[in-house]
Amino acid sequence: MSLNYEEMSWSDVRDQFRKWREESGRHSEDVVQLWVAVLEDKVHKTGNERHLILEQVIVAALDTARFDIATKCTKQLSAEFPGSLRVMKFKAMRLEALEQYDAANEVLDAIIEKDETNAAPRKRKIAIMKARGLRLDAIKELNAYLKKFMSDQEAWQELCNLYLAEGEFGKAAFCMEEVLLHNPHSHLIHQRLADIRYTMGGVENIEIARTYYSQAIKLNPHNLRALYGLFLCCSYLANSKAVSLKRKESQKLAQWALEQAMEHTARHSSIDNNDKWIASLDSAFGNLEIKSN
Amino acid sequence: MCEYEFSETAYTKIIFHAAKYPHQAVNGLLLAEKKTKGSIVQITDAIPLFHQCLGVTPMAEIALMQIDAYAESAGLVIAGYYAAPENFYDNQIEKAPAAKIADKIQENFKNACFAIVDNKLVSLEHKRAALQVYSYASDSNRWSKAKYSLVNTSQTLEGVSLLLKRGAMRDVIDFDNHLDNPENDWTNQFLNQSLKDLQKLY
Repeated sequence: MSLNYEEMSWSDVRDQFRKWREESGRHSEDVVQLWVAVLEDKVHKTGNERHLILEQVIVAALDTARFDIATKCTKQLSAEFPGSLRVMKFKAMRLEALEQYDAANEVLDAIIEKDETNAAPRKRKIAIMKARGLRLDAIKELNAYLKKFMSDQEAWQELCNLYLAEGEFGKAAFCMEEVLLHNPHSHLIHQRLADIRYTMGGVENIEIARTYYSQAIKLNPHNLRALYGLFLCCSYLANSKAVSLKRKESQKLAQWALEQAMEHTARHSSIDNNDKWIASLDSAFGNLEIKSN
Repeated sequence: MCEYEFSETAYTKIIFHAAKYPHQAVNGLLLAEKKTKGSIVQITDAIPLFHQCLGVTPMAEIALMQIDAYAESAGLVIAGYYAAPENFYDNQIEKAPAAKIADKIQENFKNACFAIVDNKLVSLEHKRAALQVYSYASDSNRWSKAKYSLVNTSQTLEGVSLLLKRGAMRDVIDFDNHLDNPENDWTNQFLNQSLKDLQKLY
Protein backbone atom coordinates (compact mmCIF):
# COMPACT_ATOMS: atom_id res chain seq x y z
CA MET A 1 0.00 0.00 0.00
CA SER A 2 1.74 3.16 -1.08
CA LEU A 3 0.77 6.30 0.74
CA ASN A 4 2.01 9.68 -0.32
CA TYR A 5 3.35 11.12 2.90
CA GLU A 6 4.13 14.53 1.46
CA GLU A 7 0.62 15.13 0.24
CA MET A 8 -1.26 13.90 3.29
CA SER A 9 -2.37 16.50 5.79
CA TRP A 10 -2.65 15.65 9.46
CA SER A 11 -6.41 15.26 9.19
CA ASP A 12 -6.00 12.79 6.32
CA VAL A 13 -3.60 10.79 8.44
CA ARG A 14 -5.98 10.91 11.38
CA ASP A 15 -8.79 9.59 9.18
CA GLN A 16 -6.58 6.85 7.80
CA PHE A 17 -5.62 5.80 11.32
CA ARG A 18 -9.26 5.70 12.28
CA LYS A 19 -10.05 3.51 9.26
CA TRP A 20 -7.25 1.11 10.19
CA ARG A 21 -8.44 1.00 13.80
CA GLU A 22 -11.96 0.10 12.74
CA GLU A 23 -10.79 -2.57 10.32
CA SER A 24 -8.23 -3.95 12.81
CA GLY A 25 -5.63 -3.80 10.06
CA ARG A 26 -2.00 -4.35 10.94
CA HIS A 27 -0.20 -1.66 8.95
CA SER A 28 2.50 -1.12 11.52
CA GLU A 29 5.18 0.14 9.15
CA ASP A 30 2.81 2.70 7.61
CA VAL A 31 1.46 3.87 10.98
CA VAL A 32 4.96 4.54 12.30
CA GLN A 33 6.08 6.36 9.17
CA LEU A 34 2.97 8.50 8.99
CA TRP A 35 3.22 9.28 12.70
CA VAL A 36 6.80 10.44 12.43
CA ALA A 37 6.29 12.33 9.19
CA VAL A 38 2.96 14.02 9.80
CA LEU A 39 0.90 13.39 12.86
CA GLU A 40 3.33 13.55 15.75
CA ASP A 41 3.55 17.32 15.81
CA LYS A 42 -0.13 17.86 15.23
CA VAL A 43 -1.63 15.19 17.46
CA HIS A 44 -2.87 17.70 20.03
CA LYS A 45 -5.34 18.87 17.39
CA THR A 46 -7.10 15.52 17.27
CA GLY A 47 -9.03 16.06 20.47
CA ASN A 48 -10.55 12.95 22.01
CA GLU A 49 -9.03 10.63 19.48
CA ARG A 50 -5.58 11.50 20.76
CA HIS A 51 -5.39 8.65 23.23
CA LEU A 52 -6.64 6.07 20.75
CA ILE A 53 -4.08 7.29 18.24
CA LEU A 54 -1.31 7.12 20.84
CA GLU A 55 -2.28 3.54 21.67
CA GLN A 56 -2.29 2.67 17.98
CA VAL A 57 1.14 4.19 17.51
CA ILE A 58 2.56 2.38 20.55
CA VAL A 59 1.46 -0.99 19.23
CA ALA A 60 2.75 -0.20 15.74
CA ALA A 61 6.07 1.02 17.13
CA LEU A 62 6.52 -2.15 19.19
CA ASP A 63 5.66 -4.18 16.09
CA THR A 64 8.40 -2.50 14.06
CA ALA A 65 10.96 -2.41 16.90
CA ARG A 66 10.86 1.39 17.20
CA PHE A 67 11.18 1.31 20.97
CA ASP A 68 12.03 5.00 21.15
CA ILE A 69 8.65 5.97 19.75
CA ALA A 70 6.84 3.42 21.90
CA THR A 71 8.47 4.62 25.11
CA LYS A 72 7.82 8.27 24.29
CA CYS A 73 4.12 7.69 23.61
CA THR A 74 3.69 5.43 26.64
CA LYS A 75 5.21 8.15 28.83
CA GLN A 76 2.69 10.63 27.45
CA LEU A 77 -0.20 8.30 28.26
CA SER A 78 1.06 7.39 31.72
CA ALA A 79 1.56 11.07 32.57
CA GLU A 80 -2.11 11.69 31.83
CA PHE A 81 -3.40 8.46 33.39
CA PRO A 82 -1.09 7.56 36.26
CA GLY A 83 -1.58 4.07 37.65
CA SER A 84 -3.82 3.05 34.79
CA LEU A 85 -4.01 -0.68 34.10
CA ARG A 86 -4.54 0.00 30.43
CA VAL A 87 -1.23 1.83 30.25
CA MET A 88 0.43 -0.88 32.34
CA LYS A 89 -0.52 -3.34 29.60
CA PHE A 90 1.73 -1.40 27.23
CA LYS A 91 4.57 -1.77 29.68
CA ALA A 92 4.04 -5.52 29.50
CA MET A 93 3.85 -5.39 25.70
CA ARG A 94 7.17 -3.60 25.57
CA LEU A 95 8.77 -6.38 27.61
CA GLU A 96 7.09 -8.87 25.31
CA ALA A 97 8.53 -7.12 22.27
CA LEU A 98 11.98 -7.30 23.88
CA GLU A 99 11.37 -11.05 24.31
CA GLN A 100 11.61 -10.74 28.09
CA TYR A 101 8.62 -13.01 28.41
CA ASP A 102 8.92 -13.88 32.09
CA ALA A 103 9.04 -10.22 33.12
CA ALA A 104 6.11 -9.49 30.80
CA ASN A 105 4.10 -12.33 32.32
CA GLU A 106 4.75 -10.93 35.80
CA VAL A 107 3.35 -7.54 34.83
CA LEU A 108 0.33 -9.17 33.18
CA ASP A 109 -0.36 -11.36 36.19
CA ALA A 110 -0.27 -8.23 38.37
CA ILE A 111 -2.87 -6.57 36.14
CA ILE A 112 -5.12 -9.64 36.18
CA GLU A 113 -4.87 -9.80 39.96
CA LYS A 114 -5.98 -6.19 40.26
CA ASP A 115 -8.86 -6.62 37.83
CA GLU A 116 -10.23 -10.09 37.15
CA THR A 117 -12.61 -8.89 34.48
CA ASN A 118 -9.89 -7.39 32.32
CA ALA A 119 -9.71 -9.42 29.14
CA ALA A 120 -6.74 -7.75 27.47
CA PRO A 121 -3.87 -9.00 29.69
CA ARG A 122 -5.19 -12.55 29.49
CA LYS A 123 -5.03 -12.38 25.72
CA ARG A 124 -1.51 -10.97 25.86
CA LYS A 125 -0.45 -13.96 27.94
CA ILE A 126 -1.82 -16.25 25.26
CA ALA A 127 0.01 -14.20 22.62
CA ILE A 128 3.24 -14.71 24.56
CA MET A 129 2.68 -18.46 24.58
CA LYS A 130 2.16 -18.35 20.84
CA ALA A 131 5.33 -16.34 20.33
CA ARG A 132 7.28 -18.87 22.39
CA GLY A 133 6.00 -21.61 20.10
CA LEU A 134 3.88 -23.21 22.83
CA ARG A 135 0.91 -23.62 20.56
CA LEU A 136 -0.82 -26.37 22.54
CA ASP A 137 -0.58 -24.36 25.75
CA ALA A 138 -1.97 -21.36 23.93
CA ILE A 139 -4.91 -23.44 22.74
CA LYS A 140 -5.60 -24.68 26.26
CA GLU A 141 -5.44 -21.18 27.75
CA LEU A 142 -7.56 -19.73 24.97
CA ASN A 143 -10.22 -22.38 25.57
CA ALA A 144 -10.27 -21.49 29.28
CA TYR A 145 -10.46 -17.79 28.38
CA LEU A 146 -13.38 -18.34 26.02
CA LYS A 147 -15.35 -20.17 28.72
CA LYS A 148 -15.32 -16.88 30.63
CA PHE A 149 -15.45 -14.38 27.77
CA MET A 150 -17.71 -16.19 25.35
CA SER A 151 -18.53 -13.36 23.00
CA ASP A 152 -14.98 -12.33 22.16
CA GLN A 153 -14.95 -12.73 18.38
CA GLU A 154 -11.29 -11.94 18.03
CA ALA A 155 -10.50 -14.79 20.40
CA TRP A 156 -12.66 -17.28 18.50
CA GLN A 157 -10.87 -16.27 15.28
CA GLU A 158 -7.50 -16.75 16.91
CA LEU A 159 -8.49 -20.14 18.31
CA CYS A 160 -9.67 -21.14 14.84
CA ASN A 161 -6.28 -20.22 13.39
CA LEU A 162 -4.47 -22.14 16.11
CA TYR A 163 -6.56 -25.25 15.48
CA LEU A 164 -5.95 -24.95 11.74
CA ALA A 165 -2.22 -24.79 12.37
CA GLU A 166 -2.53 -27.99 14.41
CA GLY A 167 -4.65 -29.68 11.77
CA GLU A 168 -7.71 -29.98 14.03
CA PHE A 169 -10.18 -29.00 11.34
CA GLY A 170 -13.31 -30.10 13.19
CA LYS A 171 -12.56 -27.87 16.14
CA ALA A 172 -11.51 -25.04 13.83
CA ALA A 173 -14.87 -25.29 12.06
CA PHE A 174 -16.65 -25.02 15.43
CA CYS A 175 -14.72 -21.83 16.26
CA MET A 176 -15.47 -20.34 12.87
CA GLU A 177 -19.15 -21.14 13.39
CA GLU A 178 -19.03 -19.09 16.61
CA VAL A 179 -17.61 -16.16 14.66
CA LEU A 180 -20.34 -16.66 12.08
CA LEU A 181 -23.00 -16.36 14.79
CA HIS A 182 -21.76 -12.84 15.45
CA ASN A 183 -21.46 -11.97 11.77
CA PRO A 184 -24.20 -13.81 9.91
CA HIS A 185 -23.95 -11.56 6.88
CA SER A 186 -20.24 -11.77 6.33
CA HIS A 187 -19.41 -13.43 3.03
CA LEU A 188 -15.80 -13.85 4.13
CA ILE A 189 -16.70 -15.97 7.13
CA HIS A 190 -19.08 -18.16 5.16
CA GLN A 191 -16.31 -18.68 2.65
CA ARG A 192 -13.68 -19.41 5.29
CA LEU A 193 -15.98 -21.93 6.96
CA ALA A 194 -16.55 -23.56 3.58
CA ASP A 195 -12.78 -23.73 3.05
CA ILE A 196 -12.39 -25.59 6.34
CA ARG A 197 -15.21 -28.01 5.53
CA TYR A 198 -13.77 -28.70 2.08
CA THR A 199 -10.39 -29.41 3.63
CA MET A 200 -11.98 -31.94 5.97
CA GLY A 201 -13.11 -33.89 2.93
CA GLY A 202 -15.78 -36.52 2.49
CA VAL A 203 -19.12 -36.15 0.75
CA GLU A 204 -20.99 -34.75 3.78
CA ASN A 205 -18.44 -32.05 4.50
CA ILE A 206 -18.21 -31.07 0.86
CA GLU A 207 -21.98 -30.75 0.65
CA ILE A 208 -21.87 -28.45 3.68
CA ALA A 209 -19.02 -26.54 2.05
CA ARG A 210 -21.09 -26.15 -1.10
CA THR A 211 -23.91 -24.60 0.93
CA TYR A 212 -21.58 -22.13 2.62
CA TYR A 213 -19.89 -21.18 -0.66
CA SER A 214 -23.30 -20.60 -2.21
CA GLN A 215 -24.28 -18.34 0.68
CA ALA A 216 -21.04 -16.42 0.33
CA ILE A 217 -21.72 -15.88 -3.36
CA LYS A 218 -25.25 -14.74 -2.57
CA LEU A 219 -23.85 -12.18 -0.16
CA ASN A 220 -21.09 -11.12 -2.53
CA PRO A 221 -21.26 -12.29 -6.16
CA HIS A 222 -17.67 -11.19 -6.71
CA ASN A 223 -16.05 -13.36 -4.07
CA LEU A 224 -13.61 -15.14 -6.34
CA ARG A 225 -12.60 -17.66 -3.70
CA ALA A 226 -16.23 -18.65 -3.15
CA LEU A 227 -16.77 -19.08 -6.88
CA TYR A 228 -13.73 -21.29 -7.23
CA GLY A 229 -14.72 -23.14 -4.08
CA LEU A 230 -18.20 -23.78 -5.43
CA PHE A 231 -16.64 -25.10 -8.63
CA LEU A 232 -14.44 -27.48 -6.64
CA CYS A 233 -17.28 -28.76 -4.47
CA CYS A 234 -19.67 -29.30 -7.36
CA SER A 235 -17.03 -31.00 -9.48
CA TYR A 236 -16.25 -33.34 -6.60
CA LEU A 237 -19.92 -34.12 -6.06
CA ALA A 238 -20.50 -34.57 -9.78
CA ASN A 239 -17.82 -37.27 -9.76
CA SER A 240 -18.99 -38.90 -6.58
CA LYS A 241 -21.32 -41.84 -6.13
CA ALA A 242 -24.54 -39.87 -5.84
CA VAL A 243 -27.90 -40.11 -7.56
CA SER A 244 -27.48 -39.24 -11.22
CA LEU A 245 -29.92 -36.33 -11.01
CA LYS A 246 -27.89 -34.75 -8.22
CA ARG A 247 -24.70 -35.31 -10.18
CA LYS A 248 -26.10 -33.54 -13.22
CA GLU A 249 -27.20 -30.65 -11.00
CA SER A 250 -23.75 -30.41 -9.50
CA GLN A 251 -22.12 -30.52 -12.90
CA LYS A 252 -24.27 -27.63 -14.13
CA LEU A 253 -23.56 -25.62 -11.01
CA ALA A 254 -19.84 -26.28 -11.40
CA GLN A 255 -19.95 -25.00 -14.98
CA TRP A 256 -21.80 -21.89 -13.87
CA ALA A 257 -19.35 -21.18 -11.08
CA LEU A 258 -16.36 -21.57 -13.37
CA GLU A 259 -17.91 -19.30 -15.96
CA GLN A 260 -18.60 -16.65 -13.33
CA ALA A 261 -15.04 -16.89 -12.08
CA MET A 262 -13.70 -16.63 -15.61
CA GLU A 263 -15.89 -13.66 -16.43
CA HIS A 264 -15.01 -11.84 -13.27
CA THR A 265 -11.31 -12.43 -13.78
CA ALA A 266 -11.30 -11.64 -17.49
CA ARG A 267 -12.87 -8.28 -16.86
CA HIS A 268 -10.07 -7.18 -14.55
CA SER A 269 -7.06 -9.35 -15.05
CA SER A 270 -3.89 -8.12 -16.61
CA ILE A 271 -2.38 -11.58 -16.92
CA ASP A 272 -1.95 -12.90 -20.44
CA ASN A 273 -3.96 -15.99 -21.17
CA ASN A 274 -5.62 -15.93 -17.78
CA ASP A 275 -8.69 -17.53 -19.29
CA LYS A 276 -6.56 -20.43 -20.50
CA TRP A 277 -5.32 -21.13 -16.97
CA ILE A 278 -8.84 -21.05 -15.62
CA ALA A 279 -10.13 -23.23 -18.44
CA SER A 280 -7.48 -25.77 -17.53
CA LEU A 281 -9.26 -26.21 -14.20
CA ASP A 282 -12.04 -27.93 -16.04
CA SER A 283 -9.84 -30.62 -17.51
CA ALA A 284 -7.32 -30.98 -14.73
CA PHE A 285 -9.79 -31.60 -11.99
CA GLY A 286 -9.36 -34.85 -10.24
CA ASN A 287 -5.63 -35.11 -10.76
CA LEU A 288 -4.47 -32.62 -8.21
CA GLU A 289 -6.60 -33.16 -5.15
CA ILE A 290 -4.64 -32.44 -1.99
CA LYS A 291 -5.94 -34.73 0.66
CA SER A 292 -5.96 -33.78 4.30
CA ASN A 293 -6.09 -36.49 6.89
CA MET B 1 20.26 -36.98 -3.88
CA CYS B 2 19.49 -33.88 -5.77
CA GLU B 3 21.18 -30.53 -5.94
CA TYR B 4 19.44 -27.27 -6.64
CA GLU B 5 20.39 -23.94 -8.04
CA PHE B 6 18.20 -20.91 -7.43
CA SER B 7 18.13 -18.07 -9.91
CA GLU B 8 18.30 -14.51 -8.64
CA THR B 9 14.70 -13.90 -9.57
CA ALA B 10 13.46 -16.97 -7.72
CA TYR B 11 15.43 -16.25 -4.56
CA THR B 12 14.53 -12.58 -4.55
CA LYS B 13 10.82 -13.28 -4.91
CA ILE B 14 10.85 -15.81 -2.07
CA ILE B 15 12.50 -13.33 0.27
CA PHE B 16 10.23 -10.50 -0.89
CA HIS B 17 7.15 -12.58 -0.21
CA ALA B 18 8.33 -13.44 3.29
CA ALA B 19 9.32 -9.83 3.96
CA LYS B 20 6.07 -8.40 2.69
CA TYR B 21 4.13 -10.32 5.35
CA PRO B 22 6.52 -10.43 8.29
CA HIS B 23 3.91 -11.51 10.80
CA GLN B 24 2.35 -14.29 8.76
CA ALA B 25 3.35 -17.58 7.27
CA VAL B 26 3.70 -17.51 3.50
CA ASN B 27 4.14 -20.18 0.90
CA GLY B 28 4.60 -20.55 -2.81
CA LEU B 29 5.73 -22.72 -5.67
CA LEU B 30 9.06 -23.04 -7.41
CA LEU B 31 9.34 -23.45 -11.15
CA ALA B 32 12.23 -24.95 -13.06
CA GLU B 33 13.15 -25.54 -16.67
CA LYS B 34 11.62 -28.72 -17.98
CA LYS B 35 14.96 -30.09 -19.11
CA THR B 36 17.40 -30.48 -16.26
CA LYS B 37 21.02 -29.78 -17.19
CA GLY B 38 22.92 -32.60 -15.61
CA SER B 39 21.98 -33.50 -12.07
CA ILE B 40 21.30 -30.00 -10.83
CA VAL B 41 17.72 -28.76 -10.85
CA GLN B 42 17.68 -25.11 -11.83
CA ILE B 43 14.90 -23.22 -10.10
CA THR B 44 14.28 -20.26 -12.35
CA ASP B 45 11.18 -18.69 -10.87
CA ALA B 46 9.04 -18.58 -7.77
CA ILE B 47 5.28 -18.04 -7.70
CA PRO B 48 4.13 -16.69 -4.33
CA LEU B 49 0.86 -18.29 -3.29
CA PHE B 50 -0.70 -17.41 0.04
CA HIS B 51 -0.19 -15.40 3.16
CA GLN B 52 -3.34 -16.28 5.06
CA CYS B 53 -4.93 -19.49 6.23
CA LEU B 54 -2.34 -21.78 4.72
CA GLY B 55 -3.92 -24.84 6.27
CA VAL B 56 -6.99 -25.00 4.06
CA THR B 57 -6.74 -26.65 0.68
CA PRO B 58 -9.33 -25.46 -1.87
CA MET B 59 -7.47 -22.37 -3.09
CA ALA B 60 -4.22 -24.31 -3.07
CA GLU B 61 -5.78 -26.83 -5.47
CA ILE B 62 -7.03 -24.05 -7.75
CA ALA B 63 -3.64 -22.39 -7.71
CA LEU B 64 -1.76 -25.60 -8.43
CA MET B 65 -3.96 -26.37 -11.44
CA GLN B 66 -3.68 -22.88 -12.89
CA ILE B 67 0.06 -22.64 -12.31
CA ASP B 68 0.55 -26.09 -13.81
CA ALA B 69 -1.09 -24.87 -17.02
CA TYR B 70 0.91 -21.65 -16.92
CA ALA B 71 4.19 -23.49 -16.38
CA GLU B 72 3.40 -25.93 -19.18
CA SER B 73 2.90 -23.11 -21.64
CA ALA B 74 6.13 -21.44 -20.59
CA GLY B 75 8.21 -24.61 -20.90
CA LEU B 76 8.58 -24.84 -17.15
CA VAL B 77 7.51 -27.36 -14.57
CA ILE B 78 6.46 -27.05 -10.93
CA ALA B 79 9.63 -28.27 -9.29
CA GLY B 80 9.28 -27.31 -5.68
CA TYR B 81 7.53 -25.62 -2.82
CA TYR B 82 8.74 -22.96 -0.43
CA ALA B 83 7.31 -21.92 2.91
CA ALA B 84 8.16 -19.40 5.59
CA PRO B 85 6.89 -20.39 9.06
CA GLU B 86 4.90 -17.89 11.10
CA ASN B 87 7.03 -18.10 14.20
CA PHE B 88 10.39 -16.34 13.97
CA TYR B 89 12.32 -19.22 15.46
CA ASP B 90 10.70 -22.06 13.54
CA ASN B 91 13.04 -23.30 10.87
CA GLN B 92 12.51 -27.02 11.06
CA ILE B 93 10.77 -28.88 8.30
CA GLU B 94 8.23 -30.30 10.73
CA LYS B 95 6.98 -26.79 11.46
CA ALA B 96 6.63 -25.80 7.83
CA PRO B 97 3.06 -24.88 6.96
CA ALA B 98 1.04 -26.85 4.40
CA ALA B 99 3.74 -29.44 3.77
CA LYS B 100 1.19 -31.62 1.99
CA ILE B 101 1.52 -29.40 -1.06
CA ALA B 102 5.19 -30.33 -1.24
CA ASP B 103 4.31 -34.02 -1.09
CA LYS B 104 1.82 -33.52 -3.90
CA ILE B 105 4.38 -31.75 -6.05
CA GLN B 106 6.90 -34.49 -5.43
CA GLU B 107 4.43 -37.06 -6.73
CA ASN B 108 4.47 -35.30 -10.07
CA PHE B 109 8.13 -34.30 -10.15
CA LYS B 110 10.52 -36.78 -8.61
CA ASN B 111 13.28 -34.30 -7.80
CA ALA B 112 11.02 -31.77 -6.18
CA CYS B 113 12.58 -29.46 -3.65
CA PHE B 114 11.16 -28.23 -0.36
CA ALA B 115 12.63 -24.90 0.68
CA ILE B 116 12.08 -23.46 4.13
CA VAL B 117 12.84 -19.81 4.70
CA ASP B 118 15.04 -19.36 7.76
CA ASN B 119 13.42 -16.28 9.27
CA LYS B 120 16.44 -15.38 11.37
CA LEU B 121 18.56 -14.93 8.25
CA VAL B 122 16.11 -12.67 6.44
CA SER B 123 17.55 -9.29 7.27
CA LEU B 124 18.44 -6.00 5.69
CA GLU B 125 22.05 -7.14 5.56
CA HIS B 126 21.79 -10.45 3.82
CA LYS B 127 24.96 -12.37 4.52
CA ARG B 128 23.91 -15.91 3.77
CA ALA B 129 21.17 -17.36 1.66
CA ALA B 130 18.19 -17.60 4.00
CA LEU B 131 16.92 -20.97 2.83
CA GLN B 132 17.08 -24.54 3.99
CA VAL B 133 16.49 -26.89 1.14
CA TYR B 134 15.33 -30.48 1.26
CA SER B 135 14.81 -33.12 -1.34
CA TYR B 136 12.84 -36.31 -1.14
CA ALA B 137 14.63 -39.55 -0.50
CA SER B 138 12.36 -42.22 -1.88
CA ASP B 139 14.14 -44.99 -0.01
CA SER B 140 13.44 -43.48 3.39
CA ASN B 141 10.17 -41.78 2.38
CA ARG B 142 11.01 -38.49 3.91
CA TRP B 143 12.52 -35.16 3.09
CA SER B 144 16.21 -34.85 3.82
CA LYS B 145 18.60 -31.94 3.57
CA ALA B 146 19.93 -31.17 0.13
CA LYS B 147 22.68 -28.97 -1.23
CA TYR B 148 21.78 -25.80 -3.00
CA SER B 149 23.41 -22.73 -4.38
CA LEU B 150 22.41 -19.37 -5.77
CA VAL B 151 23.32 -18.07 -9.17
CA ASN B 152 25.82 -15.26 -8.53
CA THR B 153 25.60 -15.57 -4.76
CA SER B 154 27.19 -12.32 -3.62
CA GLN B 155 25.44 -10.27 -6.27
CA THR B 156 22.06 -11.80 -5.42
CA LEU B 157 22.49 -11.27 -1.68
CA GLU B 158 23.64 -7.70 -2.17
CA GLY B 159 20.78 -7.00 -4.54
CA VAL B 160 18.20 -8.42 -2.16
CA SER B 161 19.57 -6.40 0.77
CA LEU B 162 19.44 -3.21 -1.25
CA LEU B 163 15.91 -3.81 -2.49
CA LEU B 164 14.64 -4.73 0.96
CA LYS B 165 16.00 -1.47 2.33
CA ARG B 166 14.07 0.39 -0.37
CA GLY B 167 10.85 -1.45 0.52
CA ALA B 168 10.67 -3.15 -2.87
CA MET B 169 9.07 -6.23 -1.33
CA ARG B 170 5.70 -4.49 -1.45
CA ASP B 171 5.69 -4.97 -5.23
CA VAL B 172 5.53 -8.74 -5.14
CA ILE B 173 2.06 -10.12 -5.76
CA ASP B 174 0.86 -13.49 -4.57
CA PHE B 175 -2.13 -15.64 -5.49
CA ASP B 176 -4.03 -14.37 -2.45
CA ASN B 177 -3.68 -10.80 -3.76
CA HIS B 178 -5.04 -11.99 -7.10
CA LEU B 179 -8.04 -13.69 -5.48
CA ASP B 180 -8.78 -10.48 -3.57
CA ASN B 181 -8.59 -8.45 -6.76
CA PRO B 182 -8.11 -10.10 -10.18
CA GLU B 183 -6.22 -7.04 -11.41
CA ASN B 184 -3.25 -8.26 -9.42
CA ASP B 185 -0.87 -10.28 -11.55
CA TRP B 186 0.40 -13.39 -9.75
CA THR B 187 2.86 -14.03 -12.53
CA ASN B 188 4.59 -10.83 -11.39
CA GLN B 189 5.53 -9.88 -14.95
CA PHE B 190 6.34 -6.32 -13.97
CA LEU B 191 8.52 -7.34 -11.06
CA ASN B 192 10.27 -10.01 -13.11
CA GLN B 193 11.14 -7.45 -15.75
CA SER B 194 12.40 -4.96 -13.16
CA LEU B 195 14.58 -7.62 -11.57
CA LYS B 196 15.97 -8.62 -14.96
CA ASP B 197 16.79 -5.00 -15.75
CA LEU B 198 18.53 -4.60 -12.41
CA GLN B 199 20.57 -7.74 -12.96
CA LYS B 200 21.79 -6.41 -16.31
CA LEU B 201 23.18 -3.36 -14.58
CA TYR B 202 25.70 -5.38 -12.63
